[in-house]
Amino acid sequence: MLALGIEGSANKISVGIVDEKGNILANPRKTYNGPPGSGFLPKETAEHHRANILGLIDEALAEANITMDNIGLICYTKGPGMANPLSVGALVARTLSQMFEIPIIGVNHCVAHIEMGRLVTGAENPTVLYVSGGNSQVIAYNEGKYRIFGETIDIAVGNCLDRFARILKIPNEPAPGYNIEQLAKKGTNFIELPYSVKGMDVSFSGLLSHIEKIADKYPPEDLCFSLQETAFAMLVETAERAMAHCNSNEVLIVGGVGCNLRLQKMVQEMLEERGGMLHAMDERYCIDNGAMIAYTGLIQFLSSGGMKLNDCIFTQRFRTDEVDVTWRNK
Amino acid sequence: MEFTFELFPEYTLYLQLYINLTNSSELRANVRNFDCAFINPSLITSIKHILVAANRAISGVKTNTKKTDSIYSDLVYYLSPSCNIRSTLSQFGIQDSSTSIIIACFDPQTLITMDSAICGSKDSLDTLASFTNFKEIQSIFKISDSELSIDHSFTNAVSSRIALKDL
Amino acid sequence: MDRHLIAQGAEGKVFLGKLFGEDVVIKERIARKYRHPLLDAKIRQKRILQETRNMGKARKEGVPIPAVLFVDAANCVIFMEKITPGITVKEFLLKAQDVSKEIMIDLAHKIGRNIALLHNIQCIQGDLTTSNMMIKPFVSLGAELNDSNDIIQEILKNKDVGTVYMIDFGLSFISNLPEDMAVDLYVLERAIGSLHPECSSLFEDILEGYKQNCTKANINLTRLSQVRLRGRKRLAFG
Repeated sequence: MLALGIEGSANKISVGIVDEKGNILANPRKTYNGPPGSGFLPKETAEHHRANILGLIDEALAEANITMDNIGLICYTKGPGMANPLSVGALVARTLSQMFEIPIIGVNHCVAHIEMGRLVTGAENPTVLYVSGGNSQVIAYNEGKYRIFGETIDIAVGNCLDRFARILKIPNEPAPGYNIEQLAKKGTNFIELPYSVKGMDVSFSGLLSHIEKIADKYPPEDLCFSLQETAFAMLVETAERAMAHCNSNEVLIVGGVGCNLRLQKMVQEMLEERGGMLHAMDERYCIDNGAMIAYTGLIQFLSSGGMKLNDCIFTQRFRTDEVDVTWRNK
Repeated sequence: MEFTFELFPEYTLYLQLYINLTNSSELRANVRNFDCAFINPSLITSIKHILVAANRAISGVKTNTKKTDSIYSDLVYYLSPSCNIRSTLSQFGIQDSSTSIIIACFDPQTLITMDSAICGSKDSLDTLASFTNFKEIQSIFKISDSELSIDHSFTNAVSSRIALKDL
Repeated sequence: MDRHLIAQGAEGKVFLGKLFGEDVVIKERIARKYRHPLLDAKIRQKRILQETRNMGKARKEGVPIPAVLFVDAANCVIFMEKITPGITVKEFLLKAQDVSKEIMIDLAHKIGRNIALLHNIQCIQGDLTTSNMMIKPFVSLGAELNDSNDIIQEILKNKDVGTVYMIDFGLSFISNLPEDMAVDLYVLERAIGSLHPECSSLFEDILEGYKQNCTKANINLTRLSQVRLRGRKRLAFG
């Protein structure tokens, strides 16, 4: 059975086609970025998605060498995310479902990242560090749900990085976080920044407001370096604490910030001290993509069926632990 | 009596209690000329109280963070919960009215020197408890009854405050 | 100095040693290689100071806490009183058989009182579990307690459990938010539920002791029922 998945909850629009064995037959993606110094706003982002989605569907079908007649399931991101961009995927999915009389299912974006990570890396039951522009969570599977052990109490780490990039007017192509990472590699001086961990929760807004104030007092390389060292250390600490709680010795990093090699190295160093194992991916699967939606929708569908059209809405708030993970039976 | 320090094995502390003092004013005026600490026994809960303070004073020397200009005035300073150097030195040190005093030094030679300087008689530190004014200690250290009810140990209450002072 | 390692966690090591001739517990916060060295030193120092300050504050309130004897701030080491004889509440609950209702309730009330006193001074323990609490029983004259079984037997002979100490303030922080106090209690509730499922009324009895001693008990317990419903996490944006 083949599933087609549409992801568009933030500034990436992507269409993926997978089979039930997890083979990814196509996964094209387009990213919307504002000019340096600005982020992406819901209206322009949704316009970008509307302009590109049908082309991406054609592209995906061509790459997979199939037509819509071969598709057995339509999947889309139900949430969480930005409302206007989410609506594009939801609308197109519903239309496709009705036009071609194919079952439809709405997928939780965060759960999709996790399942994609498990598929691509083979990690069985890791502690998950989910870090992106919109999310910062430490998650572990327990009794039928992906439980959130720790999270940000204000902004996500990716959001912190993106907003700092704007202050410094760092280019947004290909992604602001990527450019921060490159600048950070040239940094040498560590600047003291607020470090905020409370139990398994983290807070980035204090860090951001402080670094905004001192942005013109230090070279950008040193600022980026110090920002990464501080923000990532906070994430590693909370991930480690969650591991101790869950008796787990593996970490899976998912979400756009998971592409950051410095973060991967830090988690690796932490794990080495405990003899643990890191599962990480490259930008094909760390960053939002359609295949993760298709795959997660498919395994969800095969275990508990599709959704009624009337239930195929979208929502900005959709917590990871609201989903019944029926396809895992531990 | 002599005491060693697990963390600072090069140091040994020598203690001697004197009672029936007759020249306390003279001693107090010359405190800075003697290489030892003068300790008011009525505000000491136990020998351990002195050891905790001495440990702190030695640590100050080793880490270059002395509060005063001598290890001995630091020792007296750390007997007290207060951060006011002047008042702690007078309250916990020798006063004109002192009739008993504990001498503390790191050089056994000084004990001999002090013996000539002090007009009083030596007594055993085993009698220390009879000098202690627990009521005043409770007041100076602001020890609540509920804290005392934990383990009835003045020394524990006192050492907690000393250990955390100026951190 | 001679010391031997008795426990090792991610953030620190715990040793037994001697100070001023007596047995002491030595807690050291270790350097983490994944952190930048300047950041690492700053974090460790800040936490060692936070930990010892909170211990001092709690002790002044009357919460049984081991006395701090020396803090080596530069190396992030704390030297504190060893509670002897002592057994963690966890070990007691797991090993003791036929504990009287009287003793269980006494234990629970003392735990509840400890947490209440902490919350009264806005101190959040941050990691409430039965391994962070230690029982020091009243010891009858001449009794020789050589191992934990002896200690348990001594406790069972008495009418009350003795003194219940809180022994680990490594994750403690100051907050006046009912949310933080409720979560503090919730963490203990979950810990008891998973480690000591047979002690069915333990947490309720602890809350009794808490109610009797905490000035803001009602607010905090109301918050606790909300925390239970949501499973601790606040609603948040995706």
